[in-house]
Amino acid sequence: MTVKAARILVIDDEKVVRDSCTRILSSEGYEVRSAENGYQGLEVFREFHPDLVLVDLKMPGKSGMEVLKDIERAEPNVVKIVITGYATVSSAVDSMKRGAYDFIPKPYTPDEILLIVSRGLERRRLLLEAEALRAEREKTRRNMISLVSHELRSPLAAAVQYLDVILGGMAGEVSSDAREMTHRCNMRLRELLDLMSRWLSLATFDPIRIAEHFENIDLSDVAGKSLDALRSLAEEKNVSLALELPPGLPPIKGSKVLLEEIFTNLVSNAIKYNREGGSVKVSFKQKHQQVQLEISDNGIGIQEEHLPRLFDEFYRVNGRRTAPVKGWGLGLSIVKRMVEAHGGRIDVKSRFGEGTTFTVTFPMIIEPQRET
Amino acid sequence: MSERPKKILIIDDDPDFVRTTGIVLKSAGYEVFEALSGREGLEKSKSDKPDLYIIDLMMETYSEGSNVVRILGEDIETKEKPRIMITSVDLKGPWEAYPQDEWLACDVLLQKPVSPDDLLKCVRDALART
Repeated sequence: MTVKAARILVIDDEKVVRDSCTRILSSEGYEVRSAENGYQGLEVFREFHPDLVLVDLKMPGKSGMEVLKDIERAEPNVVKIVITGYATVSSAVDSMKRGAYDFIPKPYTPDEILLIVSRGLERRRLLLEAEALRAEREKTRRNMISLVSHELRSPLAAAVQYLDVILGGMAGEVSSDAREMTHRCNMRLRELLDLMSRWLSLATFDPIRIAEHFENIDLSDVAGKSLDALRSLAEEKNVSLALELPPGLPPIKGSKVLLEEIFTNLVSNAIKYNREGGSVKVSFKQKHQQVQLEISDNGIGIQEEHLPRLFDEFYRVNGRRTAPVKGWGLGLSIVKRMVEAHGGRIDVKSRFGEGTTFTVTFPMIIEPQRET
Repeated sequence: MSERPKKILIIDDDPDFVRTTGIVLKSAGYEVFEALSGREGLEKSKSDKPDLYIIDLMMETYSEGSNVVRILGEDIETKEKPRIMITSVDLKGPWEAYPQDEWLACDVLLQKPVSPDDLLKCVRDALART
């Protein structure tokens, strides 16, 4: 098997530069093509598919800077090296900010050019490797999603249905011990289904697709509805719920389903991690160009060392086994992604033993200026 | 007045699901027929003339269930019969990966596991609409 020779494109209006580059690089076994201006350069670029491009910054017509920009946009993984006279080193630095990898000052020796080009090609190899890894990771992620969403769920669902039939008394008499154990079995399997479902909503979360379906949302509606759904949980835990709504709260752009999930998640946390007789307060404020939501409780609070990692996936404040409340450590990371999909931010303040406040800010709808 | 029990055809390639669903439906007095593939389901639909169908969305292929449902929905003999679709795919999950437009050919889409109460309620509601 032969390794394919690296392809190099030289774009320079000076014939002597094109010829010398071609000679030096061809002698090393590279495949070289050249072009005498920016337009021609881009044309050759599209059909030649080079690994590396040498571009002169100072050319009549389309400038080297523009050529760089076009190549960077079309194929960022192609390594771009700028050829420049000593007088324009500052513009070479400028061009590196625009995606160029290195620069070759004029005049140059064959050794200099070969050194810079071989370094550039090494860079190209790394870029391609990274891209292949990314693609591989994406494929793995997709396979994992399909595995979890169907292949892993099916046997679990089948098992749960058997247990339901037994518990429903449709498979004959069972002793009360066996019944209790079957019930536990059923609960544990449902926990696993719930975990898979949460993982899926995290893994398949696509903020761009979600934003396509945004509509105007009245947050007081969402808050009212979510709080109503949580009243029985609050009563069970003997925690009081209060909602403070200023009149005339402006709508925001968002997804109703996601906003309800954000609310329900944060408020139910505030209830679950509360104390007997504690309280949860939900309030809204309009601040500058933002709508600010605060959910505060006077519950058990969070120790300071946990706060920085609170929104991490699978992070649990009390560890896995000792926690008084069951959970997977996925809720808050999902909430954070949902808030961010709305262009918002979530912050937390807490004092251990005193309570916790989550603050969520959403941007207000800004009407586009009418053009005159 | 004694009415003849309603006939329900379960079409699913997962025998465990067919079995548990059958037990639940029989316990409520329904007459149950079973098919383990889309093709067998369509044959039994002709011979057993069920009043309601319970059909798995993805059997041998991703689209087998939705094809069966479409055929039943287009057939003059069966198009008025309620069709309940059921799937083990997480309904919150990656919907873009699966066919979508054919789903309209069914009355309800349920996610496995379906509790006996939910299943029976869904069947009762669907039969009441006919």
